[in-house]
Amino acid sequence: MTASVLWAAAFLLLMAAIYILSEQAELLRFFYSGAASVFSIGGFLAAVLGLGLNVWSRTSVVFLSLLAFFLLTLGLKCLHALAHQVRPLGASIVHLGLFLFVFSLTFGSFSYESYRLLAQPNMPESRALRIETGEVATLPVAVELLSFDIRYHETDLKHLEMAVPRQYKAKVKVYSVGDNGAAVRHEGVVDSILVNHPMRVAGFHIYNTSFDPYGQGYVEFLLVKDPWQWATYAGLLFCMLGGVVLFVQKSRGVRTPADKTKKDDRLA
Amino acid sequence: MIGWHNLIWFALCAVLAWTLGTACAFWGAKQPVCRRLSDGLYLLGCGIMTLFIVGFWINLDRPPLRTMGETRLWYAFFLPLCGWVVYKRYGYAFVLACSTVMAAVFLGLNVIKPEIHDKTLMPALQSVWFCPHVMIYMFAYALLAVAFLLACYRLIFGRRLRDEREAERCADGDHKRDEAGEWCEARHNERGDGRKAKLEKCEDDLTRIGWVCLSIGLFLGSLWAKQAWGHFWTWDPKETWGAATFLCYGLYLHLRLAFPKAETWAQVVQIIGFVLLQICWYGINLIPFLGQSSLHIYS
Repeated sequence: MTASVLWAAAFLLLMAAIYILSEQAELLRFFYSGAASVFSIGGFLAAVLGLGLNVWSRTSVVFLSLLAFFLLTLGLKCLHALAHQVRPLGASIVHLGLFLFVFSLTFGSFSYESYRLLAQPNMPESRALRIETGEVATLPVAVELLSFDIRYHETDLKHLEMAVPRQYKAKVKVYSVGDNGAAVRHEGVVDSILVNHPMRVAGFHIYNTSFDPYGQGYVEFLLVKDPWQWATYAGLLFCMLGGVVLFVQKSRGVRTPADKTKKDDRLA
Repeated sequence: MIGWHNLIWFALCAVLAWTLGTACAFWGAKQPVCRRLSDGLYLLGCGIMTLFIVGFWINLDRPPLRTMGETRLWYAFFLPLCGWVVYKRYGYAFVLACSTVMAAVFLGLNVIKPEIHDKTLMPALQSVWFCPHVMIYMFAYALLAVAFLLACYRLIFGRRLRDEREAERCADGDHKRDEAGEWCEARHNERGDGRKAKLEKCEDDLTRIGWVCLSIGLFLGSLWAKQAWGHFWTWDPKETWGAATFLCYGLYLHLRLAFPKAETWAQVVQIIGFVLLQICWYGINLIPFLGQSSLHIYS
């Protein structure tokens, strides 16, 4: 959590410094100009294309540099729009939402934790594999599998080994883990976890990501802790709200010389 | 019982109605009767496809939005509808013709490859986000396809549009520039460049609305991914190419605002955007190199 907050704060400080200095230094105003938007979007597009074509990875210097430039120009554009109440409203809301979304995903990834946990009946399990680091960790919660129900499509029943399940549901009991590392037996929470319906407990979201087609008696769960998720949700909300405003807003369009003449005539 | 086995009859009737509607729009543009007939036939084609989709939905007992074939069905439904709206708004019959041809191609593919239809719906797709996410995407794809057609038209016939403007200038005997050349240019634009400006406005509006729908679809997908897999964004191949498409159309819109005179570049970006959209939609399924281990491949 600390690393993500420090990096995010450093980035925001850099952004604020560039914006304040741009009042004096005209060169820095480039960062929130239309040309900078074109270059930063074009650059980030190239970075994403490189990722899609497997030219580089998302941790490569090229990708991260272009992402940083994109985020910087987007942030400065938002700051400029907020400071000077730049219109149109729809575009400003979309910019703000997109900045929040990309910013929280980028810096929130430092404190994002996901674990794979194998749960079995009558055996609360608190040890899990941290996906980001590949290390085994003891979690503050323990999961016990109470039952597992799987249903197949009727058409698939003849070839069960290749069948795609229609739905699967795990009933679990989740305990908090005491200081000695053992599950506190008397205060478990019982719930059913389905795909698309995760369980939320003690700051973790528990996802049912796999099923047990051969009846080996264990089910794999994904446990996720994402402290920045509310900022990402806010970003998504702003993006969609701005999209709706853009949809209903009249197009500003591109100003042609004819438009300029009309405006000059009106002013005269 | 409406199912994929009788798609061919619905497709034939719809394409016939759209073709006749387009013909009426081309040859009877100045006669109100023909215009009404064109509208009626075109909407009849859309109505036939609506009937098929509703019947198919009831037959499947789930929304027909899962397989590639089913998304093509929605595309073939939305594309003529968007084409018709653009025709009604801007009067370009060629948009109707292109929409009809593209819809016919996609319906033809579904008729030739019936195995792409599947009744099963896997658990990950059983979500409230499924219908809005896919439908808004298909609507965006249809709008952006029409914008792509306009971009091609402007790129190919751009010189002719400019020549028309020049011819009108010469006919007016007003081809000299005054000292403040911009004013004179502006007057020419106002008078002779109306058709070009209309096309430009149409393409910009379609791209803007298409991009908004695409963005909403993308962000709904992100919300869904968080609910299903625990992460908003994982740079899965589908997400990567979706982001590339989103950025490319964003680039077009910013290019038009920041550099309005760089029209050719804007058209090129529009065309690249359409190519990226095709890669994102089905290209990653067809080219394993692009879509290795994607969580989004269901069919």
